[in-house]
Amino acid sequence: MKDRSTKADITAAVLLDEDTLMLFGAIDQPLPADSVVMLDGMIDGRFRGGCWTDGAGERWFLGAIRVAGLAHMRPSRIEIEDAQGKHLLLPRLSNVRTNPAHLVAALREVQPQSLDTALDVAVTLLSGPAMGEGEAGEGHRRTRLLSGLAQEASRPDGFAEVLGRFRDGALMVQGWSHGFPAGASHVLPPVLVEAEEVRPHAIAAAPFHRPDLPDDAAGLLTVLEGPVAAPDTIRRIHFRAADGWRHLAIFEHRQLLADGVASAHARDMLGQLQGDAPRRGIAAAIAARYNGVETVSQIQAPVRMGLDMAVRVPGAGLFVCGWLLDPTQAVRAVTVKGGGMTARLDADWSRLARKDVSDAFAHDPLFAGRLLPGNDGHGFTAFAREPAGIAADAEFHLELTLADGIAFLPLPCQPPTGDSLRRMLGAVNPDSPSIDRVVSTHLGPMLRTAASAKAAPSSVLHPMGRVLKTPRVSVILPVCDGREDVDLNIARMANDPDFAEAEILVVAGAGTHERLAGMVRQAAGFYRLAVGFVAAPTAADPFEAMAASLPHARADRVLLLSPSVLPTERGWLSALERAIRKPNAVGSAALAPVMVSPTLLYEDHSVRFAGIVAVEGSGGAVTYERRFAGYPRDWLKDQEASAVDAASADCALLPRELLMRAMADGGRYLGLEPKGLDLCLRVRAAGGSCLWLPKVRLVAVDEQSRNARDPRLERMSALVDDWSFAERWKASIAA
Amino acid sequence: MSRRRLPLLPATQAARPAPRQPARPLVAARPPRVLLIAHNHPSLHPGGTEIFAHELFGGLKAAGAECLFLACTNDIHRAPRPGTGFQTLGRSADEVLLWAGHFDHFHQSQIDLHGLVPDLSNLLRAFRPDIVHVHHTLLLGVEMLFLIRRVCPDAKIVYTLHDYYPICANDGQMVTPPRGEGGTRTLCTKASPDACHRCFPDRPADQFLLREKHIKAMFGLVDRFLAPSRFLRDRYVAWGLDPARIEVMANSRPSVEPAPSRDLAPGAARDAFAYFGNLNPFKGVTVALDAVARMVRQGLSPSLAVHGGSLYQTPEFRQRLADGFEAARGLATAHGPYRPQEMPALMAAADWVVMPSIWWENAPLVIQEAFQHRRPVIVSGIGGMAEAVRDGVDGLHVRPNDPADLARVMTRALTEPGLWERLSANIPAVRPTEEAASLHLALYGELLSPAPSALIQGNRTR
Repeated sequence: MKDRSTKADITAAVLLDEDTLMLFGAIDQPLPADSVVMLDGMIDGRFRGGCWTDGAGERWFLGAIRVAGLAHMRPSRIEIEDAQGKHLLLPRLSNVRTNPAHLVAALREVQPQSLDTALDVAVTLLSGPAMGEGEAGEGHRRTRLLSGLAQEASRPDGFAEVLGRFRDGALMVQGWSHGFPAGASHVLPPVLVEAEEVRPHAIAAAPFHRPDLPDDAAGLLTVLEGPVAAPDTIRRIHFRAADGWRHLAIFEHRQLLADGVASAHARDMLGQLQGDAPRRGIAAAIAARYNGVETVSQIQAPVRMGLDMAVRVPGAGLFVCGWLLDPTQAVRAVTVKGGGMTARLDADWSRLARKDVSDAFAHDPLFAGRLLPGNDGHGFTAFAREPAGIAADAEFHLELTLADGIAFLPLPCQPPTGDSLRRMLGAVNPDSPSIDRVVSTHLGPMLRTAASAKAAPSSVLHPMGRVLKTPRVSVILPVCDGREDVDLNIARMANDPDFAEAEILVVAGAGTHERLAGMVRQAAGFYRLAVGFVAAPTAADPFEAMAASLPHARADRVLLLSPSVLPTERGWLSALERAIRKPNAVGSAALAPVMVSPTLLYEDHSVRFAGIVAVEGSGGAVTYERRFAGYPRDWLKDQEASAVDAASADCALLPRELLMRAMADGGRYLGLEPKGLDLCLRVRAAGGSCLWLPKVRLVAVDEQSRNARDPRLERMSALVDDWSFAERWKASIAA
Repeated sequence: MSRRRLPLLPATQAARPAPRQPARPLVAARPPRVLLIAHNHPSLHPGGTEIFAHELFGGLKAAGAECLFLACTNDIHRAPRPGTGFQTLGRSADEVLLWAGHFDHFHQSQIDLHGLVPDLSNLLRAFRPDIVHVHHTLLLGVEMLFLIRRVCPDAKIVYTLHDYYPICANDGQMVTPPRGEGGTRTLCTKASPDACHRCFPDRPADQFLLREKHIKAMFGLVDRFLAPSRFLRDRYVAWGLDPARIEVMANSRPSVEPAPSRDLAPGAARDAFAYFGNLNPFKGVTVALDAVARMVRQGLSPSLAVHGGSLYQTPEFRQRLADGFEAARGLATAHGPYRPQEMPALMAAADWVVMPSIWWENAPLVIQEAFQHRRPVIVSGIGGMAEAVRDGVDGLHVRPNDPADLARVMTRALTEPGLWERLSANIPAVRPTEEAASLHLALYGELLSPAPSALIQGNRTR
């Protein structure tokens, strides 16, 4: 393609930021308003330009070039593609400045009569996403350029007297002027709000009669699209009148409306506004503002919406569950907004059948004849990711975009408590085709963030029974269910000389029976054991209970012992201790500190635990499998003590210091299974190793029925846990 | 079907086809590794199929085969456990339970493939069976045949069909649900989408076709089907199984000392009848009770001991049962469920066993048990019962679901001099488990041999 060399003269060139160059000069050919630019024939970026012709017939231009990293380039060829695809070659740049005052001064000197036009062009060039945001703050060179130009071009005309912010950051301004334009936002040029920064804002505006003003002036009401600078920081509002730029000064005794009042104030003014189109423009601008009130029920179209629950995990995201009855497909978009965040919900939500909603509206005249029988997919569950930096107490609402308006629904979000998160999990459909993505982009991060914000459970120690100076081992017996006593467990230990010098920490987590402490005290006295009753009422599961009790353990070695584990014979603790003392004698290669577990059997003598091993499948995928689980115990006959990839947290002996290191950064899971495995993997990551002793056999029974829990919740928990586990360990757990 | 149909088998032992030579040396020098799969374990649910499969398991082990018995279970007997589908029974090292509670009865299909497949695959890989002998795919799901074939491509799959579940969606009864004015059930001879839709109006006809296609597709992976009766084999051949792939192999029983016959006072009649089995609408217990009531009205006083429970039956049926006992009060006694080891004592108190089932039956365990104790059996002259009991030879046939006919035959039984002795003397020996094990081993060997010999049909009958 042939290039056209231009006859151009670049009067000033100013770098507005690292990526944006502003040019002012004269040129013999028209420049495209929006096009691409090539530097030295290779690097490309955006070009926006604007031209005007002065009284002498000379064509002047302002142009903005945006190329990433432009400040560090010395381009020798600048080519701009025009509307016909031809390349216009600009002359080589020299004397590129960084102070916008230079450009303003050049304009004032060379084109003083065209400053209004230049400001028009500059506002157009610098708005819109193609030109980026520029630097922040008052020193911002764009701000200095615009405010410099405004300073030169804009004349005072009237005052802003009442300012009020809408919830979404838009601004209502009431005042007076001679030349403020009137109309809806799509017909009016933007105004420039001069505060710490100078930013353009689309407006709707309408005049109203004020008897106190001369005939050529009028009251004005305008709504500036947000987010607008805080009203008390605004210095001037520049607007484009028919004959040039003017500005409203801020009245000395201006009134700043309280939050949320702007909407009502503007609505009150509607009746006085002059001109149909401007009044409609203002009315539309107010209607598009959320003012904390539900407006869905006022929609004329057959559209209704209800919320069942909304949960927000600050810093991670939102979950919304409810229904949208929209039989005529009037709703174009459902968006969640608040705290500066905007996220479309309906692009990727899951719909579910809500026959109750169909039934409830079956006799509503608005919906009569519009509900198709059997078409009940009104329910939805939706997620939105939250960018960082949104205030923890931000308020959110839903916005329904319709063909002819917008309606709002406040979104009261529950905080991420254990209950609300469980309800959220229970509401999600595990059979949704997008469930993997929902888990990895929403549920996983939300639950992880919620868990990391949770405080570590506190605990109080109540010594009971005998006092031991230096216990040989600290037994941690976590109780997190409603059992009334742990008599059987304590009796078993009392009956085994191995436990004579052991301190037994019975940890009472959440939901334990109120009589548990009394029963433990009685048993400790009767059996003359050294028992520490650790009250940890916020510990939700055995692992949190263990963590809560660890500071109270005094022995160098800790025995983790689930209350479901029932020793069948004496001497098993000594066997574990021997293995810990001489780990290499029983199959561990190195002299690493060791976590050792015995074999655990079910009451039918099938294998419950015989070591967990990592199995590498096809394609290198690693799965952790419980060996021999469910098989008859005789299958272990020929097995020898061996190193395994994970022991069992239900019954394991290990050095206290190793356990503390492993628990320092607890894994965050919903189920116990992955927590146990995760603990063992952390033990190994902390330099320990895991051993399994096949010959030492204990019985472990589940007294609680596992069917009591909601199967859907269970499946969802497992999906989230699988994701968390894979994130942390790059492996999966066998089903 | 005629109730006077002649027994399918010739009456005398000598006339039967020459049996397969038992325990021919196997091709492999080592004994075969056999995985036996049943839909339940007899110690949890002592049904005929479970009992026979488990006894065969014992027989095969005694004959030197390496066996593993895998029995399915569900919520009725066991709760599922985390991390594994397997459980065990007592201390047995070669019996494993598989929790398979997510089962689609209509399609005979396993719903929880995600949970079951890894466990079953691991078991198959660990045990490496030469033969997988399936006794039912209830609970397990017919898809597991596919898994077996995939994980153990060289293993042979043998499938003993113990009932008509694959053919009939009405719990394999091949009897219609109660229909018409009297709410009567009628015998069904052939399943078809239309006929099945009439039984289950809520299900469209094409679902029955899909069901059949699915089951047949999975059955295509089986190397050899075994039918405990010729009647059952004929039903499956009529349904579409390749006749070359299904042979008759009679069930067996562990040997047992026959219970002594009842001592009679001089001139006393053989009037002690006994019923064994579940009390459900298909077994005809109400027909028997009705027959006794009719005999009472004719001035006779037979006794009927009813052994069995009515677990899981509808209130309506229980009421009918109660009414039946009431009408035969004084003569019919409900003794409740019994354990297998009580059988000799219960038999000792009976002269006749009645089995008036109103469905086809296959190879009823009760007939074998009665024969072991040399008790003639009065049966409905249909299906597997008519095949196992020869009318006028080792038992008597009655018209099914006809209390008057049953009353007539029972009256003949207690009044005709010498009848009991003659029928009792003709009762053939029941195949002992050892023999069945050896016949099965011979079959396994045949299947495992590189050049399988042609199947000789019907050569493993009793």
